[in-house]
Amino acid sequence: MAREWESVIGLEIHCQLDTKTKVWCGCSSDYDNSPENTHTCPICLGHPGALPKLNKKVLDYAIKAGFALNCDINKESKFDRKNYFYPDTPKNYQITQFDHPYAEGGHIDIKLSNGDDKRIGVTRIHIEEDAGKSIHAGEESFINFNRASMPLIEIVSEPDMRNSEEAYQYLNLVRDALKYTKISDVSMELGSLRCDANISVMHKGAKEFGTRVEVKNLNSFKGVARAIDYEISRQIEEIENGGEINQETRLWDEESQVTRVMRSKEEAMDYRFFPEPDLVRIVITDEQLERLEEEMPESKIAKMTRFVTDYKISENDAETLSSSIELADYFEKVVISSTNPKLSCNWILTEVLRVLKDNNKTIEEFSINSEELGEIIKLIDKGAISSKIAKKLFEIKLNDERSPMKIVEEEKMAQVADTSEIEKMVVEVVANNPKLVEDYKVADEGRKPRVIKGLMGQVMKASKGKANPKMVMDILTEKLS
Amino acid sequence: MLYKHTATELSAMLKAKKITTVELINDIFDRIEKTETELGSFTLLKKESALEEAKKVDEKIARGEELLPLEGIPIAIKDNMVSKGDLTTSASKILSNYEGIYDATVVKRLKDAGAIIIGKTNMDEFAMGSTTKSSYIKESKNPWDLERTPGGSSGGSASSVGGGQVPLSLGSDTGGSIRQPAAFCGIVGLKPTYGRVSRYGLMAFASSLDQIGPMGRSVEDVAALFNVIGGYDEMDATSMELEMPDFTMNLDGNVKGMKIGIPKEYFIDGLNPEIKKVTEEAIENFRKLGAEIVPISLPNTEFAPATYYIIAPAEASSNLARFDGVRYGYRASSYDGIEDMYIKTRSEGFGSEVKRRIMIGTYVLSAGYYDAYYKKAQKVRRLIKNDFEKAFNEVDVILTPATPGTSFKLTDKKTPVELYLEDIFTIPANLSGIPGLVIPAGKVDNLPVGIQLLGKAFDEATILKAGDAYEKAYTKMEIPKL
Ligand SMILES: [Zn+2]
Repeated sequence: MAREWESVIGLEIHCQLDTKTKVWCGCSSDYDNSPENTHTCPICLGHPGALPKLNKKVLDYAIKAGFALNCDINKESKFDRKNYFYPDTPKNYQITQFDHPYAEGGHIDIKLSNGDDKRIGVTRIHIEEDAGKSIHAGEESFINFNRASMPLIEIVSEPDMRNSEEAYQYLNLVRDALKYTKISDVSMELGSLRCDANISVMHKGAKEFGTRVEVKNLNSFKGVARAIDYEISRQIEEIENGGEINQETRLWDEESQVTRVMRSKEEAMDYRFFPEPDLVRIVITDEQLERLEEEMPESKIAKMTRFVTDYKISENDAETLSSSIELADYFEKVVISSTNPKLSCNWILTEVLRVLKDNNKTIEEFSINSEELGEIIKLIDKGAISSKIAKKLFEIKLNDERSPMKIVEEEKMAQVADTSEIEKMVVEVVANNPKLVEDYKVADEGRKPRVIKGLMGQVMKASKGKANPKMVMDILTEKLS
Repeated sequence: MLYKHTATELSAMLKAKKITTVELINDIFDRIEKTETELGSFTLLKKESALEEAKKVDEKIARGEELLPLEGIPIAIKDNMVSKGDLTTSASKILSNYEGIYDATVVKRLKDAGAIIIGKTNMDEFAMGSTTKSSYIKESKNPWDLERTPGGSSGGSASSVGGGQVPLSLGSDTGGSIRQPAAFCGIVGLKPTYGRVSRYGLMAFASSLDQIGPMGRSVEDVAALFNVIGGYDEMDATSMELEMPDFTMNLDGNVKGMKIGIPKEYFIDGLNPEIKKVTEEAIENFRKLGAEIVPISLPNTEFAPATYYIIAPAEASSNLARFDGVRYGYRASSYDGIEDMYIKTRSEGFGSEVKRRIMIGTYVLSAGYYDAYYKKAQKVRRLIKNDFEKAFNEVDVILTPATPGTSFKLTDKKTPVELYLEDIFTIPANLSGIPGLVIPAGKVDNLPVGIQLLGKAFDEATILKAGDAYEKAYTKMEIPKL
């Protein structure tokens, strides 16, 4: 009988920090739409004599990431050089933190399928610089150094994950936590979040981990999960067929959905780490920590709790609303202009999220801003429009520049709240439905509400949904009594 | 004959309108034209731009404006300091076509101060060596004896000043590269405290040891140049945010009561007896000037060269990695793929001394040997630093010989290890980061002999004061006939 297998997964996540300038020089980090090699200087091009100087904002941002992932911040840490030759690494060494990272010992709690929490350890976070980008065109190769010396943090997890689902969740939660701090746009698509996975398999209950394989080049959330699944089955298959797992680095091939060997242990690099002599030790003061702690935005958990207490919405709804800081911000702004938290919550969770999902958009790309949605909700709340009309208004507003109020006015969507007009309609309906009227009069108390609803529906229909339902009911009851 | 004057004298003459800056620059270049074929001090001369700068200074004088202390004074800088638009080669084939795209901080400060950069001086390739023979470009000669070395690695900077080609120059000192050639050429050289002069724009040899410093014919000149180049620079993270006093101000010739320590470990067997004699005379002279002579011990001195020859190559192996033919500099003409391009470019581009040190450095940093070599060297470095800290609790200045012998013949065959020991008296200051000043103290067989004054970190003022006092009492400035 085949023995059961268990897999062990650790992730290394690289996150590009959103500082205005690069980590060692004054070059602008906003190079996305710039021509190649225009955001460069002697420092980030590694010209002779040029020296790095730590951008203080990088340290601030990095510390915030440390807070967000529950790490201990080391008051003193240092930079090291990692030596290796690669054309897009201008100095042919990378400045990184080797044995004294600035942050250690953090964690993130994920939810298992049985509902239990599981704590995934964050071993360390360190600061390092990014490399340039190689571009291969046929026989020729080119390098764009715009990205060279961009600030990165590398978040190294403990090998605490057991399957791709846990890894996927961990990666998502890390991204959320970082996104909340606003230190990065944490987008795998844009390359500001990159991930490598260390994967090994062992027999269930075994004490020793199997041989570890590092998988690089994971540049989508789905890719991470798929690569892990692939690699786990590849390793199990390999062993079950009598083979052995080599300690090697593999690349995830997104196109063919397999991992391929990049280099083996024998070819492993000797990075010849040593302390970076061009930079002084990193010293973090208590004042700096206090200041940054104050600057830390509310965490997701804290936000959820506050939503439940302050806005009296359900825990589930609060969780959905705080799934991203942007959605949470949107919600709170809508509440400010609508002054009705419950209704705002319902509208966002149903209508807004539906539209976003159908169009594959994020809340930042949503066409109705928080003030406008707040206005729509306020119109409902005041009774100026019915919920039904509100939905129509919402649909129009999706592609309409006019303010909700203006649309209501110009499209004559406001509720009819004129007593004489409603009375006219009620009289008409009563006259046209003698059978229902008779029915109502003879009905017992239990049936009466049902019959009157039918009549009311006729009135609403006659008003094209614009009649104030409460007034209709009042007048109808009076006429029938 | 203007070339015979010190920078301080020349500055006074300019201010008094006894000479014009253009006259001065022309005179300097006449002297260079007469002597350069013999001395070989320069890798680049900039007569045209120097004369243009000179005209501007003369216009300023004509307008009656006050001159800055070094305004209009010609200066030569070592070819490992980047200057915009100038070839800056570190005397290496791999940078033989490299034109600086920015100004090193020292260059910028010199330009801002109105000093006139007349050229770049020859050196050992990437500052590795003590003879200037490892230069890819040329051989430099000792102005006192053209068959001998001016020393290294700032050999060109030393021979240009010693040979009367220019009153002031800048050198860089990683293990003695300013002080040893200064001693060999009979001039004054200062290695400031690590972190005192910005290294921004200095092509790195060993980052934790390198320091730029002034070379000149008098202590006062050296202090004046130090005033201009020193001080905090935000472009260099290791530069210290400390006040720069005016170092020319307290050169009053008075060393009465100054405590001068004489470390017994510096008077070793390998020390040439003649040098020993000159040094002892100097000690006696200081006593006569009123200084108190105190015997001291720096017990870890003997480990300094070994420590240095681990740390310096380790850092160099990493610092020199950027010279790969990818972005600038020399690239091999034919190759097969990127790996081959690196190998051929670096094999062809670097000289043997540089290759030797890259290999040593790569070895001592490699995974299996890091602890045994690099880490241990760092520990010993700390011990050597502690020795000095302890000693400076007792004394103000430490006096030592500058070199084990006088300049040797260029044809002398010395093994690399023999050459490495040339720096034995100067290396400890780099390992500890403390300042060291070499001044001429006499001659042996018509070859200059220097003594070294070591000071507390950031206390260049005291060694300059002591050196100046000695110079005023006992040294006669000489420029050899060429
Ligand atoms: Zn830059």
